[in-house]
Amino acid sequence: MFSLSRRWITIVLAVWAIKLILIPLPPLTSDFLAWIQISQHVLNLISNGKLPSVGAFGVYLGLGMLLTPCYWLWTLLPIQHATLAEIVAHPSLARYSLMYVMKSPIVVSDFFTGMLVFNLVRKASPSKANKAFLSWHLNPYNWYWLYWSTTMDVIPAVIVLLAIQYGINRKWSRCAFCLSWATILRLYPVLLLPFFMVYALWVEGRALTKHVAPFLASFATPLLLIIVFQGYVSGSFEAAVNTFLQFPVTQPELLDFFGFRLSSVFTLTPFLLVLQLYFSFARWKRETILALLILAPLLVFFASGIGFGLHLVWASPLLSICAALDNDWLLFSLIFISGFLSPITTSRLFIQYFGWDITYQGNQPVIDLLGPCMSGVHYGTKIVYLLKLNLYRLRWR
Amino acid sequence: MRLIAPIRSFLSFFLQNRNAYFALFAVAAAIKLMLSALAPASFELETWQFFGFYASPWVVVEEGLVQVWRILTSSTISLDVWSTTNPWTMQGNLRLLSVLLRLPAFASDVMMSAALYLAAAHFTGKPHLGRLSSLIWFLNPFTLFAAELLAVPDVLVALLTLVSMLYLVREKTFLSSVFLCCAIGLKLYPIVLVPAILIYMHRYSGMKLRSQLYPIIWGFLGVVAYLSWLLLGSKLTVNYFTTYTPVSQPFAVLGVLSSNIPLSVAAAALTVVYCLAWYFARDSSSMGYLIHLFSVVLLTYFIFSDFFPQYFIWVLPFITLDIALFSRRRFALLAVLLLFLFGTWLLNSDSGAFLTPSGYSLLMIPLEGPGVPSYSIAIERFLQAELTKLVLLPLSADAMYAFALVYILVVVSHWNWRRRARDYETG
Repeated sequence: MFSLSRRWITIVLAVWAIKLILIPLPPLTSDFLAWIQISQHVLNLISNGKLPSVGAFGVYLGLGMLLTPCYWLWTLLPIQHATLAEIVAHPSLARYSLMYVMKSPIVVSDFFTGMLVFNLVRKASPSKANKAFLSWHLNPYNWYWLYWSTTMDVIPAVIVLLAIQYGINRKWSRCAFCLSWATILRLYPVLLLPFFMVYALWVEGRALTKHVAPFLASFATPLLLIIVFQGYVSGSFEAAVNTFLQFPVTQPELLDFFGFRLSSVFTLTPFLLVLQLYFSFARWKRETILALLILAPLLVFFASGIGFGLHLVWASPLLSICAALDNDWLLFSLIFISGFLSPITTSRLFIQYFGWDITYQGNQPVIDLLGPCMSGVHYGTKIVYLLKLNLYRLRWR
Repeated sequence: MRLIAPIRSFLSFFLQNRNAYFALFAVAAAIKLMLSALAPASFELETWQFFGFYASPWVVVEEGLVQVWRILTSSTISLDVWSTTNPWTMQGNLRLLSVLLRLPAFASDVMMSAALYLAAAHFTGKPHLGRLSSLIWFLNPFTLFAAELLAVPDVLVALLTLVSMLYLVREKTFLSSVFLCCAIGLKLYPIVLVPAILIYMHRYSGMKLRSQLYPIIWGFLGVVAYLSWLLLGSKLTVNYFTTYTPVSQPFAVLGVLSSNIPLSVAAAALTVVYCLAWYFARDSSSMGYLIHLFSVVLLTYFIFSDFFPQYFIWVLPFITLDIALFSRRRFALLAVLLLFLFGTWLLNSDSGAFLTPSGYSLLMIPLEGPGVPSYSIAIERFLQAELTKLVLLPLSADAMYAFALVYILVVVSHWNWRRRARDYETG
């Protein structure tokens, strides 16, 4: 399956070894602690014969429940278990083992993401698959967010890749099923649904009609199960629906999905998503591979809203695929380097760890100048990536 | 068309006839010098305020000219008197000072005309096109306002960037980079051209790596030179970059996402321009490639910087060459753009109607102070009216920015998008 040279296999193995060795070394970031607390809380509830509710954990319940078995496994280890406060305060075996156990889903997802990236590119252009594979595994940006900052976003990202894989194989029910579970874990994949449907329409043509019902049913079933589950926990179906309807109030950060506001009713992301959908549907070449079709709405999302650094992990595997297929590593490098240096996304958090505050305050000339500049370059790169993706896939005739 | 025909035949007379061209040029130069003596001191010309504080090379030259003036006239008058005096009743020695302090900008203006003449004539082998580009520049009311009346140093910087570009076209990268270094050392903004030059060298001309290092090294030296007079020679701190005008900031902080996460829209827009140029810019000649690329980059930066109308002079030489050599149709676009630029300049409340420290407009109209005539009161009332501030000014400014953007789009639309995409398609 793999045609990597021995030298590259050695490099990849070495990188993986370093990744695994470095797992316990980064600090306990606020994100990581939040995930531990959620898992701890869910485990306590289950131990007491109760079920966790969406009302209590919000959109983080899905990933929280996924991580709970890991936390449970850690509690079973034959070591001296410390409290979270002690784990934070003092390096100990408990701390290192917790980091290994809780980060294991990331390790697995990281591995499978690389495999899926390789496989998706191999189907389109076998000679370019190695580069795509390497660009995922050797990308320091991915390492930072996955292993340093411990973002769990790689889990829905790998499920979306799996959905793409099923989509290419025209297994629409499985594709929708994966997409639905990814949505439960991180919500953003719901934006991708119309683009999967566009692809299905391209591939199936008129035969699509017989696939529509299974596709939508497969997508809706896990979501309905979650509503039913929430209804069971909160005692009534109405209460469950209300919990979901209250999300914009209880979790206002979700409104960031609308992107920059141009007026009280005009928000940029939905507007551009609709435009992108139209362009993809009406103007793109039909032979465009699904991964690139799915990359477009993600780039729209990043280029039209604040877009924090961890969000780029959603698109990172797809960017590897795109860069390998287009053989364009300049823009690929630029988007990740500027993304890392931009205080909006990454560098602020990274540098703060070393005790240097680089938050914009208006009185630190160099930082106040370079920070916005790098953020600007990062946004510019995202816009160019989106433009280029569209221009290269347009049907010009 | 009936109106344009006589203008065209009038202009073609000066373009075809060398002596007539020089005569017209001399008359225009004389008028400019005369207006330099008549017009009151602009705020930009008040550089004497910075003597001993601000060691910009331009200020040092101005300081030297003041010394020359003092030697010539044996005058000990405070410069405050000169900058605040009534332009109609100004004494002869003060008028001499006005001319002297405007002389560097005037000289740069004349040299720019010569450079444009030589560039266009040499490039096409047609002297009349050289004359055309020279006249589009020299007879442009905008250059009169920005160069002679306001006397901004940017006209010299624009000249240096043009010379840098011309040497680049001739593949004399070392000399080109030296001139670019001088331009950056004076004003810093030409640093935005360094990536454009590298794109040209790498994607268009395929120059050697050693040549590609020149703009990087000399650009860096230019930044060092700029910082050295700014931070070492002047009584300024690094705060200058964020507290003073964005003109000194190569990447102005304009868009703010939230209170602590600002975003430089200028940097974002320039990144888009560079990347699009990298992938799609095409032209039939080096000259065309560079003129269009420089125009787009500088105009983009002008659009997304804070509004200082005089800084349109950064891009004007390249637009002038574009019109003279490649597309006459764009002259109409430039004319409309300049019309709205003047409109915005006139209505802008900060220095409305070209106000100067004397209380007089650069157009010699009294605007402030005791005993102003009734028409001045009417002008002032008009400028201060809510309708002007809230409706007319934004309309004029928006129209100006829109036409600037249209210019960019018109130029960029001639890049070979379709072919590039098809090249990709065919591998």
